Order: sequence, then C-alpha cells, then structure tokens
Amino acid sequence: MAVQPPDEIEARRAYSTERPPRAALLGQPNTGKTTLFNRLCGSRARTANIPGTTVESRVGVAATTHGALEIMDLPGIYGLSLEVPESKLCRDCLDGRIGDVAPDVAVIIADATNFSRSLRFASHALRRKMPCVIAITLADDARRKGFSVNAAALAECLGCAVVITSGRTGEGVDELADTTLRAALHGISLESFEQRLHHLPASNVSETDLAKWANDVLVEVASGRLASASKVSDRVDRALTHPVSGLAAFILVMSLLFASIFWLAEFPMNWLDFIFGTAGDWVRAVMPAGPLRDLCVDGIIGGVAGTVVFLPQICLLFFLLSLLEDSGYLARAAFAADKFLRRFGLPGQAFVPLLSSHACALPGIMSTRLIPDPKDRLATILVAPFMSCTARLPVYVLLISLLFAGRPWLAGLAFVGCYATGAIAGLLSAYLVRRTLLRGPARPMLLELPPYRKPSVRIALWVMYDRGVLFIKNAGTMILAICVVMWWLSAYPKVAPSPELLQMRAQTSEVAQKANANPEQVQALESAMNLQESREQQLGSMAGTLGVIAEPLFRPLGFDHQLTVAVLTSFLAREVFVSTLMIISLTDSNDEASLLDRLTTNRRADGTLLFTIPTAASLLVFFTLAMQCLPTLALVRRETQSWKWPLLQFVWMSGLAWGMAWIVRQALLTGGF
Amino acid sequence: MVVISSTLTGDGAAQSKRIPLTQLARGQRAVIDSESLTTLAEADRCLLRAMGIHESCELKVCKAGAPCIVEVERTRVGLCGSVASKVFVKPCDGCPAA
Repeated sequence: MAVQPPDEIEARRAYSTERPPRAALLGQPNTGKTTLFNRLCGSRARTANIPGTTVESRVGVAATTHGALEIMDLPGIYGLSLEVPESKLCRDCLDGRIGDVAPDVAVIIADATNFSRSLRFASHALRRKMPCVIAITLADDARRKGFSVNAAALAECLGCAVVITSGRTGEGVDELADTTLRAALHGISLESFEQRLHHLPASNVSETDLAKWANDVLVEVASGRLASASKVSDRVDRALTHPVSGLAAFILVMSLLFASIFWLAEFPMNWLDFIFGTAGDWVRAVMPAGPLRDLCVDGIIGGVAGTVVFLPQICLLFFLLSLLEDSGYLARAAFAADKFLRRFGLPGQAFVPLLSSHACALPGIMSTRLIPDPKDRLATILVAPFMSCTARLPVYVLLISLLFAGRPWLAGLAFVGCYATGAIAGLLSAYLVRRTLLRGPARPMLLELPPYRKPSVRIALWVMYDRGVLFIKNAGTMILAICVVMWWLSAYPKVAPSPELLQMRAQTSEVAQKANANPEQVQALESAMNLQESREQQLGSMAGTLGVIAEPLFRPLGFDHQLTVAVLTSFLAREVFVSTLMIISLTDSNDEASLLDRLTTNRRADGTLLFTIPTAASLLVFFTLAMQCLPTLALVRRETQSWKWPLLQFVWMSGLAWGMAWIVRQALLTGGF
Repeated sequence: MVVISSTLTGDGAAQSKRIPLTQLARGQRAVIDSESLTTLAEADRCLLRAMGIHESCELKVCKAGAPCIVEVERTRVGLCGSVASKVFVKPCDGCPAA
C-alpha cells in the first residue's frame, strides 16, 4: 500500500500539537494482542478503566520515527457486531462514544496460526470508515510450523497496510508503529474507503460464504500448511479434561497456586512488616512525643504498612496467573470448573478468584477481571469475601482453642467447618444474587482453549508490575485513608488516666528507683501499666464509645461492650480482633495459652463469664461470615465504580453473620450449654 | 500454495443422519448441519460463528459428551452441554471414533 513521504507527514505532525495520534488495537482473544502491545509501549503503559465503564484497557505510548503514537489495547473480542458487552464497548470506543476521543487508526490483529478466522474477523473491522493497519501476529510461531503470509499480497487483497510482527521476538514492531502513525496522520478519503470495500465481501454475506472468501484470500497470499494440533497437545488435553486425571491435575495446580500465595508471600510480607516496624520505631525515637508523632507512627506509617502488606500476595498471584494463562492451562481449568460453578450461577473462570480469596480477598477480587461477563464478574466480587482468608485464621485459632481445648480432632473438624461454612455461604449467596439482583440469562460456556505454549516470564513480570502499581494507585490510597481514620477513632479523644493507672505508675516509678530493683520486676510492672493505659484508651476512645452505643445490637449474640469494641476495631482488619482482646484481657503475652487462660476467666460487669460456649461459638460463626474488612469494601467500590455494591455486600454479609450467630447461640443455649 | 485442511469439506457427511454434537465419540469428525444452529439463542449462534463454528464447517471431537471440546480450524473450543446438545452435526463417513 502506498504511504505518504516523510516530509508531508512531518508537516501534518506539526499541526497535531495537542495530543499524539491514537491507535486502537483490535483483535480476538489469544492472538498475541497484549504481547504486541507490551512490545510497542514497554514501560510507557498504564492500565485504567475505560471512562464510564468498569472494563479496563491498557493505554501506552509507542515511539516512532516521526513522533509519539498513543496506543489503546481494547478487550479481546470474537466479532465487532456481537451483542456482548465487550464487543459493544469496542464499537463505542471506535466510534468515540466513550473515552475522551475516538482513535485515529485501528490496528487489526490477525493471528498467523489461525489465519482464516482472523481474516473473517478483519473483514468486519475493515468495513468501518477509519484508517486501518493489519498486524499479523505470532508470525514466528507460524513460520516454525511451515506457514507464512505474503504481507504485500495481503495488503493488495484487503486495501490496507499489512505488517508481519511477533510480540515475543520483537519482529516488525518498529515498522508497525511507523506504519500505524503514518496511517493515522494520512487519514482516509472516501475514495480509498470505497476501494477498500470493493475488496471485501458484502456486509450481509453468510458465514459460509465469508469462510469461502477467507479461504480464497488465504490461498492467494499464504504458503505452506498448518497441521491440526499435535498429538502431544491431544494427549495433554485428554488428560487435563479427563474426569479423574483432569480433576487431579486441577487440584494439584490450584493447590500449588494457593500454597504459593499462602506461604511464599509470607516471607516478603514479614520483611515489609519488619521494615515498617523499624521505620515506626525510628520515627518514634526521633520525633518529640505528641499528636503529630502519633499521627506519623500509628496513622501514616501504620496505614501505609497496612496497605503495602497486601502487595506480595497480589504480585505473586498475578505473576502465577499470567504464567498459567500464557501456558494455555487457565482456560482448561475454567472449563473443568464450569459445570460445578454453573449450578450456583457462576462461570468456570470464577474458580481462580474464589480460591485466591482464601489467601486474601483483595487479590481474589482483582483477579475477577479474568471473567468476561460483567454480571458473572459482579456476582463473583460480591461473594468472594465469604471465603475464609488468612486474616481470619488467628481468630479461628483463638476461638476454636477456647471451644475445643484438649480435643484436637474436634478442633480440626471445626476448623474445616469454618472454611466449608464460608464457601457454602458464598456459593448460596451467588445462587441468590444471580436469581434476584443480577437476574438474566447466564452466558453459556463457549470457551476457546488456546494452544499450549511455553509461558513468558517477561510478560508475567510485566503483568505483576502493572497489577501492583494499579493496586497501590487505585485501592491503596483509599485503604490508607481508611486506616488513618480508624486509627484516629481508636486514639482520640485522649483519656485521662484513672486513679488505678496513676497508682500503677507511682508503684512502677518507686520500684524502678530502688537501688536493688529487679529489672524483670520493673519490666513486668511497666508492661502491666502500658496494657492498662491501652485498655483505658481503647474503651474511652471514639471507637470505645461506639462500642458502648452498638452493644445492644450485639447483646443477643452474647457480646458485652468490650467484645463489641473488639468487633468494631477489627473492622480495619480481622486480625486486629486478637490484639484488641489481648489489650482488653490485660495480657501482653504472645503465648496463646496465657491469652486463653485470661479469656476463659474473663468476666462481664455483672460477674458472669464472658466466653461461655454459646458466646464463643456465636462469635466464631460471626467472624466466619461477616464482612469485617474495610480494605475489601474499598476495593469493591473501586472495582464496581459504585458504593451500591459494597454497601449491599456489607449489609448482606453482616446480616447473615448476625442471623447465623444468633441461631447457633440459641441452639446451644437450648441444648443446655 | 496452501492446502486447506479443515473447513468446507463436508461432502463425505452429506448422506449421514443428524445427531447432536454431544453424541459424537472422541476423535470423530463431523460437519455442522446447515440448519442446526437455528435452535440456539441468537447471541450464542453469533458467538459460535465468530469462533469458527459455523454451518458446513468440519470439526473434530477432542472430548466427547457434555461439556465437550471440539477442534475447528486448529482452534479448540469448549462448549457447555446446553449449547452442545443443540448443535446438530452429520458425522463424516470413514472417520471412525478414536
């Protein structure tokens, strides 16, 4: 295809000072589109939601010989005219109905390893009156298998520029960027558009005739033959989709994925914990005591630590998911899980988010972007926090130890029961929500199973980096703000020391000043004094006042105002519940037995035991089902672009948790416990 | 010169009787019946066609039953039972099941 000389392009380029020309990458899933985008834009790319939608797209800038070219990676679609949300979104984007400006040129991706189907897709896209460039991807892969395309002949056939590329090797990437910029600046005249239409089949042609047209073009421009998938692929597929070996492989891969985010992420999480702890100690030592120091140490550093601590799990999950997706296995896993999850109105792709949520709901919710259908995705987001995350573990351990002390088998069963209760509640909630709020025909599973390929670590690292930055930018800021507010509620107003505390201070000071003071005794007294101070501050703060106000709401579950404070403060993060109980119970020992001893003897204001079996059981059920995680709510708000869904999620989960906890308590009380 | 290996080669299937896709055995080849996709919902039919499963195309069954996996033009597609049972095909003569 003829292109304009460089000087004319430069002249046009000079007028375009406001923004670089924009290209939209348009193609089918599994055609190497995103790999090509990463090659074109490198680090100059960011992921953002398409304005006004919850669908994300990557936008980046490619450097060309004649200047910058902005590139937008649209969602992968099977056809532009399909009545599915992704296709509608691509149409709206190309027409400029959404987004700040319509793209100046469309880069249509044609997979060399599936060329006939790509030509049929291109024939629809080329009917739009806009400059188009065809990028033939996976050319190296096709050549290895003995198939190649003549770019010049294809350009002649279709009436638009054609560039042969490979996102993996970088072949033709610079040429594609230059050609696309030229096409964008050149524009398209009515005459050249009509010429292009002349090359294409009629718009109302049947699929059979369209396939014939594609095969005619293929015969004209391609050489060689692509055989059907290899026998090795056949055997692997047979094994991975077999009812027994497929299930075993599925369980093995998902267990490894889960184990990685559960245990492997613990190391960097501990390092981060150490780094922020050290930073907090240093600031505490350097700054003079006062509200500003408290804000810096407990509010800001504590808040940043509370946000960043999720990063290792998120990065690791997306790194592994990218490898699995690239290898072709993820689609097989979704296929294997679909039949079971469909019964609850969820798609097969929901399995990965639900499994990841057992480590932490945050990466789980972020990974729902694998799910193409918006309703399926929303339903998965809504039920993901029901899965028992790692933050629930300390609470489970403590309460199960209280309930089944000295009975390890029952304790083990209770532990499994907590996980099962969360999963069952999640699946039943999904069933309910898909038949009420998200009613409508479920999209049946029609899933392309891409060929097995060696996954690219480089792409996985890019995905990991991109997701990490996205989390920090989008959800991190909101989580930090929430952490600071929760700290403020727990730290203010400052409570005047009680006579009991003043007496403890005087006693400690007296002992410390003695010449023959025992350092261990002094340390024990200081520790007891600090705990008493924390307890008074906790109960006298705004959070403590809220606990007193909210107590009537939790009284039917057996909670007194101290437990209510612990429940409210654990809203920031569930694991805070245990540390709050330690403060309330006046023990600073990390020894679980010591805390348990304290708790079993802890009494209410009226002298009755606080942790009876019915109360401990109702608390356990409450924590298994309740949405006790503000960062998750903040992320759901970001992902759904609405407060409606996180509020609904909070009300439903808290209501269900309260109801089930009440039923369990009443049943145990009736049973004479 | 290119050799077309998969589509539009349904001559051998012309005389076979129509059966649902779910009844084919693994490794068996078949041609999609020209009227078979009409029983599907419009959205599903369009998506299948866009994925390469259209009238008169030849496919190979990689996993039989419901759900099933078929191969069309080097693309493998997994179909849930509700869709696969409504896709009628004519088995190719001389293409026994594996």
